[in-house]
Amino acid sequence: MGKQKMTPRAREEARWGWLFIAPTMIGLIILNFYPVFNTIYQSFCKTGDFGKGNIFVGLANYQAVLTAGETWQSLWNTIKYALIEVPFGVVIALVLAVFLNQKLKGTSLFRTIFFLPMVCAPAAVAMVWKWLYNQQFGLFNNIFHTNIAWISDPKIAWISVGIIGVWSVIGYNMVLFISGLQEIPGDYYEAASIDGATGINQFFNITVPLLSPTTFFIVQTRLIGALTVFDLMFMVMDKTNVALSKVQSIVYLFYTYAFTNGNKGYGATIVMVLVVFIMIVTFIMQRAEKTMVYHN
Amino acid sequence: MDIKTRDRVNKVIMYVILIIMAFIMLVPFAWMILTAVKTNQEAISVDPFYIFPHNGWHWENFVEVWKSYNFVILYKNTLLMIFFRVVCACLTATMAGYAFGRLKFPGKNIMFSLVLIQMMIPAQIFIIPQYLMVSKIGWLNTTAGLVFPGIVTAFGTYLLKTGYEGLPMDLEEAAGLDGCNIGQKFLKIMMPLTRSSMVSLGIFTALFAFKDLMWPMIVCTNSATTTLSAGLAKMQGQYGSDYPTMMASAVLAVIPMIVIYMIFQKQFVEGIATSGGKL
Amino acid sequence: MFEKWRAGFKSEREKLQGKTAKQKLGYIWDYYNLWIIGIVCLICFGSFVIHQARTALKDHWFYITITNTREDVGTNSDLWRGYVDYTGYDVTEKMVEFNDEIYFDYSNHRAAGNKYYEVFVATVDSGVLDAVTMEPDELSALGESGRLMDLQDERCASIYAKYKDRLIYSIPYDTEYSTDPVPVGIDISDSILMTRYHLYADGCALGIGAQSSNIDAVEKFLEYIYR
Repeated sequence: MGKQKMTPRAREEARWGWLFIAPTMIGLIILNFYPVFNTIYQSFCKTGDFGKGNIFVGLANYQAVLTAGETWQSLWNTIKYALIEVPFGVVIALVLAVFLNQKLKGTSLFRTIFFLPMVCAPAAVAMVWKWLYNQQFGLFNNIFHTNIAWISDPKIAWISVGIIGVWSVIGYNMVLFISGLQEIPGDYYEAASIDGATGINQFFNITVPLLSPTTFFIVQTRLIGALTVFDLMFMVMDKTNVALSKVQSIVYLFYTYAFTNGNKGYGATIVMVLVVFIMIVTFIMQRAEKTMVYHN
Repeated sequence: MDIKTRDRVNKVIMYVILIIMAFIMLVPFAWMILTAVKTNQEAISVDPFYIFPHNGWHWENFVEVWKSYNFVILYKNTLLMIFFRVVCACLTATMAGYAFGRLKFPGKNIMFSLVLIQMMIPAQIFIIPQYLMVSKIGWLNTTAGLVFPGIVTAFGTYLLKTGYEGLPMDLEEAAGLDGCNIGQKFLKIMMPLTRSSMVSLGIFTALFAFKDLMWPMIVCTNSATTTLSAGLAKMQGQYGSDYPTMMASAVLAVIPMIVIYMIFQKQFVEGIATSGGKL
Repeated sequence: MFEKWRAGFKSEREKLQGKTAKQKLGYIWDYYNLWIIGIVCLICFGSFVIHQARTALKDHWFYITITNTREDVGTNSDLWRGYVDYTGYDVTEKMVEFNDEIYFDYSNHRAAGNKYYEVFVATVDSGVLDAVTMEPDELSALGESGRLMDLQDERCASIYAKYKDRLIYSIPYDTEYSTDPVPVGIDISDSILMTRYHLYADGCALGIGAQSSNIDAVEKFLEYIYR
């Protein structure tokens, strides 16, 4: 791709391309990448206790983070969480979006209802779920006549948190799916129904392949979102929860070190480990995109 | 006849699933409203079947909250912030999304990986440097300061890139024959076609801006310039564990957001009618 | 690209010839409305940014966070005015900020998950925050995180000398720094903050932000509340 080989047209295209991405890239570099370099620098330092400033310590933080069992435990917790949230969140949202794209009465009401969890005050969401999960007074244990410690039993707490995760992303995924469905030309379906294809056939032969770019986008962004999950854990898991170490995500661990304990260098190192991990996952996904996503 | 009954059965199944899901999704919202009309004593009771208020419905909680706080100013600040963030995000993201999705230029892949990396980093990392920037420009306690981190959006860029990639390839070639340059093609043909992606970007930008708590709290130290979410958080600090008051204020806060969503989602429906040229 | 634009401009001008002013405006608006709106917005925004950046106050004389209180002691309150009068700081030049809208309690672990705590951390780590007041036990717990200045530091030598007998200690979380208690705060329960403004129930203590650069202003604040 040497510059001398570019045709005038390609050169014009390149010029427009750079012009179009310029505002976004300048903004991202100023707003986001400058802080990132700061973080990278901090990860090599022992930072500012009691006003002492940054002290360069080389790779000591990395050594500490990579040899700490809790780092790998929280990374594993995060992966487990993502394994619940991403597939279930995507499939349920897809089914709902397909339903709401039919000619049904009241679709706009349903769309609004499914959107409501996203605007609810996080405090309300946390309180409701804590109440549902409460061991003595909770609705679940009362209805099923069980005595399960939903969020303090290390064996099942990660599933309980995952369920809240699925619940809270359904609306988000659904909005994106609906907008993707709108972009599928209607005549595909007309042609198919003339051929006598049933709803389920249409779904697998038309909707799924034509929607695959949107699906890929949602899976990709949700995967990144799930691997950086934090607020949800924070709302539901108290500091005193015995299952915390088996549930806490890696960003939670970062927060504990960088914010609560004031060890910013160590926290920055955890972030670097996380980013490298997500980059590997993303790289694999971008490779997979070429074979799995249908492009017209 | 056969097909008709099958259709009807399908419809019934769909409705049943939709209604069950709607019920599950509604629980916290209903709980917010029910708590808002209880007395505090009732609200902190943990009995799961003690759902409805026993001592009458205290709708006056809403009136009290409305009076005790200047909601008009909070709504105004929030809507201004949302408006500017949506405009900025849509503008920058649609341009960048078009370039990433449809144009070929050297350095594209590297730039796009930067966009992806931005989404991988916990938001807490950005706060302190951004706060310093805003205070150096002198934007503390201003709408511009509130809008500041939302000027560009990596998520939106990626979303619109996906939208542009989904459009058929021949469209652009047909327009290319008319002697349009890339900028004109973008403005007149491509941009209108990604309408539903833009609408969902608008919804999400508005939603994220509305829910953003940390940034307004740090930028606005003054209750005349702050936003709903931060104002509410302050109220929680003041009222401590007065749940009905907290929930009443939370309900009042989300109403404009629901209205915004309903306006936006109409666009989805209209999108079907207006994108006829493409069909 | 430039040549092309000039050619385009020429052809547009030909199209405009022989039209009335109103038609011309209509034509331009129809074809270039997005560009016009965009450029106008850009100019407005640009001049706004420049105006803001030139006129706004950027620096602080003094920034104090008064946590966990329901009393009105924020900027423009009586306490604030008294301090500004006492020190003679010119508030049209730099800011004096009293922030009374922060609520967190580090000792109860409620700070975790509390956005106010994050705001506090951000102001400390960015070096904006100069001082913070809260109840003594909480301040002592907060000191563990290293976000308050060690009063033995030479920068606070004069404060340390003056208030030696009322220090509050905490044992740092970071054992490499010190395993002995470190003085992080000053008990100011008998100052006007308590006697006149009744901020807290169980006494009051003041700590200095770890990255603070206005320690002289903190000293003046202490003098002011003990005047």
